[in-house]
Amino acid sequence: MLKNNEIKARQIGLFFIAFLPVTKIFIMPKDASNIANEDMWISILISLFLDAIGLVSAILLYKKHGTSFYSILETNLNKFFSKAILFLYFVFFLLKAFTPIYEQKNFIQNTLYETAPTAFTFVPFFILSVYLCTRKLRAIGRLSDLFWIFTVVGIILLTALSIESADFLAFLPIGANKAKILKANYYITPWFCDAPYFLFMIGKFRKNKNSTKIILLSFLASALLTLIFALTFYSVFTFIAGRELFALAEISKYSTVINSIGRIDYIGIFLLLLSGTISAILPIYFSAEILTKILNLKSALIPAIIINLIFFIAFIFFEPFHVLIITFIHKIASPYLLVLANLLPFAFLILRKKKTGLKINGEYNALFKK
Amino acid sequence: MTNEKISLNLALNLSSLKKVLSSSDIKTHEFLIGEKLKSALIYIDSLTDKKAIAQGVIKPLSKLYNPNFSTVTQAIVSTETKTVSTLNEVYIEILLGNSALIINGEKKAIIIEYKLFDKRAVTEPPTSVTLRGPREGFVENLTTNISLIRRRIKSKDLVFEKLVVGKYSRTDIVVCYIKGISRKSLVKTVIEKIKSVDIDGVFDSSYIAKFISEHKTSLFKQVGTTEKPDILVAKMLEGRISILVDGSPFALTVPYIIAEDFQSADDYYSSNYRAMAVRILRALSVFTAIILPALFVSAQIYHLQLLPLSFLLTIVNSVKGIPLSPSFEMFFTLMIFEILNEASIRMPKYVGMAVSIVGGLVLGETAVNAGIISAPALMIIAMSGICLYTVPEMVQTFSILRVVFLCVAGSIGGYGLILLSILILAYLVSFETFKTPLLAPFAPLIKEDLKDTFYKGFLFEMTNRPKTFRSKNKTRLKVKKSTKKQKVDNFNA
Repeated sequence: MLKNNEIKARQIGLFFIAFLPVTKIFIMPKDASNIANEDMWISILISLFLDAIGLVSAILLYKKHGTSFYSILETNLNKFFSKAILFLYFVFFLLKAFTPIYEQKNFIQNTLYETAPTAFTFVPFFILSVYLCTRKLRAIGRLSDLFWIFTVVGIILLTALSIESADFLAFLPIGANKAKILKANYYITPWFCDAPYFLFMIGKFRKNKNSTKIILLSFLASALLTLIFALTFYSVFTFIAGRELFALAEISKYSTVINSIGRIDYIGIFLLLLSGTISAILPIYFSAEILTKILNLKSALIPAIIINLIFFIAFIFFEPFHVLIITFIHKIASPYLLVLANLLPFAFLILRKKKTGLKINGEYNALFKK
Repeated sequence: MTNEKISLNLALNLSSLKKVLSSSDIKTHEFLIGEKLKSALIYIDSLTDKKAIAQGVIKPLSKLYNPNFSTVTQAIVSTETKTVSTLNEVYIEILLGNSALIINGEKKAIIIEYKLFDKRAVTEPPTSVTLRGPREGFVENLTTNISLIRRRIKSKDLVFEKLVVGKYSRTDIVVCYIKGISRKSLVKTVIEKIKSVDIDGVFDSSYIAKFISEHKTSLFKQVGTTEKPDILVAKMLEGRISILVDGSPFALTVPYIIAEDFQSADDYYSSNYRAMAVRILRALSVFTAIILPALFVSAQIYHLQLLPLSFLLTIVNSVKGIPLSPSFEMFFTLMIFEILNEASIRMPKYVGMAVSIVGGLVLGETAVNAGIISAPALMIIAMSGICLYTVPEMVQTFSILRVVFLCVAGSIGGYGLILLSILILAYLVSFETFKTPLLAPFAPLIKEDLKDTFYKGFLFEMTNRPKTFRSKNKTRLKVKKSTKKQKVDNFNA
């Protein structure tokens, strides 16, 4: 039987499929198209490739040390440096959390509601977030077991509805905006950088001979879903894609099926919103977990309340600053996110394996409690 | 009650007994065994088969030559006799409906079982009617219920462990399992939990269900129930254990998973394709029952753009002039429906019918004509109410969830429904009873066990017991390889 805070390799795989593509289909395709036009897919491909490097580094790190990321830090660095690195990741997840919450809030306000909803509408999101943050990783694993189907069905439905109006020749000529590919890639970085999710799951799942294969294949599947959606989006709107704010709501709007039987695309949108909401909470979940470790707390409740309160205040009372924060995250903080997501796990590979005497699964907090 | 030993003096014993058992329905019949040994038979008038006592005890004992304790015991005509040595034990046995024979000069009493009380015949249970398959249902009598199970499993591994719960009711409770299939640790936990119950009386199995539930205040069911022995036996063969309570026709089963309430006995006796379609239909019905009123309200208040134009026009026309707000209108209609539902259950059958007609047809139509509620609202509540009963075991939980969803829809709209759905799912995935996840085999995903969920596998495919219950004996069906060859041979012949 699995321990309380353990998940299975299969659940990590389904976690990738369920939650990684959803945050990338709200505004990211529009922003990538806006900068790189028909070469937007290359920018996305580069970001996915960088994520894959981060993921492979984390896998190798786990293969080398066979323990959790917390234990690796504790045994190889001193207490101060371990906590400092954890603090960097705490900030990383805070920065990563802002964009999905921001775009989800805007999407809901602009697309779902006829008249602008009150701030009260968005308050339950933070209550749900606090609740989820106090759940064990096993609960997230089980949610992945349920929600992957929503993501897959949602993306397939929206793509299938819009494919009839897609013009895939719009991607030609390939490489026409060479100079802008990297610029777009730089800007869309905060939507990617997903390897740290896995980094903080290593040592908490029971590995078997197929674990690596399952994780890599699932990541590939999640990357494919993202890419297929983005490609279809651009091929539907071509040169005006950069002006279509919410890809999710716009992509299948002109389908003939919708004209005849009504807005069935909302089924897909609601399904994606289900997994998208958890997706938006995940960075908060991991930041709360890290803060719990840094502060040596037994429960994640207090960190979860603090972090969610910060986001709640930021989103409800500081609305005029949102664009500023988004600009900061996407234009200034991107290198920081890239380094922590992809370079640092790779750099940790040089750390030598030390015998810790700690159990591999679960009990990684022993040193911190000394 | 004290542990007072039985005295050699019969009169002394009888006077002690009369002090404790002073009720008028407790009878004492004094007679001579073999015309010289004074003795008394004590029993409860309403619970004892007096004819059998006369034939099986008094008649043979009166004629007994040279009586002593050993010959008396042998002469009694009964399949169930035992001896006790304290007055306390005598009291308990008499209160359980047994008869006690106390003999002058003996320090022991003989307990004879000659129980007789009215019991209901075995009939088809009203809560799970089937088109095909067995129609027998449990009754209030524990012995009958045990016999219904024993008749279906003729194995030495079928075990019934008897417990007594209730300070005053002293209700017999039987924990029933199949050795080698049910987890030992599970049996131990259940028995310990039942033993720890210290209550005045247990009058239905639902009492025990509440005590053995791990999350006492949860809205969600944690113990399975059934009125049908064939279902119970099938569940036990999957690795569950069952609990029978004297006086209750509902047997309990643990561990419980939500998926089991979406299955019905008919699914196993009818076509697989039909079973699959019906199970999907049940899931859709539950979804409709809980969500539809909420969706309608949120669409009307917040998301009119989600509705197709023609449907929107129909709604606009029908709600024109309705004085209530959409959420209050729906809530009001739902309240009326719940009141009608409650009244029709509690009222005598013939009055209940009239109430249904007056409430359902007259009241509904009048309310629509009077412009108090709209026709779509009435239709949605009616549909939701009908859909709810496709999974009767979950009606209580789902009807409360329906109200919660309705409140959220009225105050926050569609996004609130999404958040609430996630909250419920996040709660349910963490929920375990007897170390078994409530949402198994969906979360955690156990692909082998999906064969008996929305996809209903063929009987010959279900070779293993569900992994969910972690039974040690995993195989439940061995398909002989020769069957295929035999078929070919038959064809060739």
